[in-house]
Amino acid sequence: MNRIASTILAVALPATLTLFPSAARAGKKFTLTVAPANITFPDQDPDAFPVTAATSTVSITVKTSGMKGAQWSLTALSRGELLSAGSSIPIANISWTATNQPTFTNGSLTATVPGTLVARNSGNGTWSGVLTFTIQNLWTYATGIYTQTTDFTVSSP
Amino acid sequence: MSTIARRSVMALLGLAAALAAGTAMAANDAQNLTINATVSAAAKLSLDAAAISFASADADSTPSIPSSPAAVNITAKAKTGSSQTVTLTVQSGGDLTSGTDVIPISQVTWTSGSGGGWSANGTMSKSAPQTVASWTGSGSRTGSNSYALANSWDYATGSYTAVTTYTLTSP
Repeated sequence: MNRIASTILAVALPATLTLFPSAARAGKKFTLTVAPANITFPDQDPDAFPVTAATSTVSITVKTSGMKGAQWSLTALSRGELLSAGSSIPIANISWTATNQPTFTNGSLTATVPGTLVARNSGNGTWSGVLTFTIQNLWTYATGIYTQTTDFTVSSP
Repeated sequence: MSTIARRSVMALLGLAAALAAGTAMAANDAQNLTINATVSAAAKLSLDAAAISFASADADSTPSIPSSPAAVNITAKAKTGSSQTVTLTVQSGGDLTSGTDVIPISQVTWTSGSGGGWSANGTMSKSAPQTVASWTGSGSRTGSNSYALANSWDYATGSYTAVTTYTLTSP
């Protein structure tokens, strides 16, 4: 039994050492800014405007510290489709183009976990990008005022 | 000694688990963006021919004269509520006239092989709009009407004209 205990200790001790990474002690910190907090797609003629741009762009800033070179990523995950009473528009019909590539990337919205990658980099610093959102404008959309919330999350494993 | 070792092992495993849990927690920050989109009612109608004609023909051998072009292709687009009815109608402003001579507009009929909400056939009227097609909800639909004029020895010679109007209605 003592031999078994010693064996387990020998396995457990190295494990506790590797589970104390310096980055964890320093504490990775993120500050994410998304502005404005809402955007609107105006009604337009689908023939004249098969793609409609939002009335404003979205500026995103990611600040990191305590990273020790670790990678971070920013994802966008919608909480569902665009909804208006009993009607819906697929959230995937909304896409964006980004400035400051390749840190920021182009993409389309999704309600499927883990979401769509918006930006990725590593280490400490400040990164900013501007997203221009567009929606496919289709005759099949039912009339209504649609809304949905999209969550932007910056994280590091 | 054995008990102390066992307790130490348990304590270390507990510490390891706690640390593992601590490091597995990803640092993160989150913000949300509210997306709004407005879809307003709209209707758009287009015909690929602004005029059709019926050639003179022997009333015995050609009792029904097909139009030229053979069909009017129609594109009807509408944005409306998901349970609202979109209706396409046609109505003539009057009979076919040539000076004082008249051919009743009801002598003009159409067929449609489009299906999907398009009326299979119809007769032109000057007194009431005739339904060409109807659907529920938004969308872009295409179809065609093939016109024919009932031929008759009774018609006076002349070049006849009438104007008909297609109307797409979306509540």
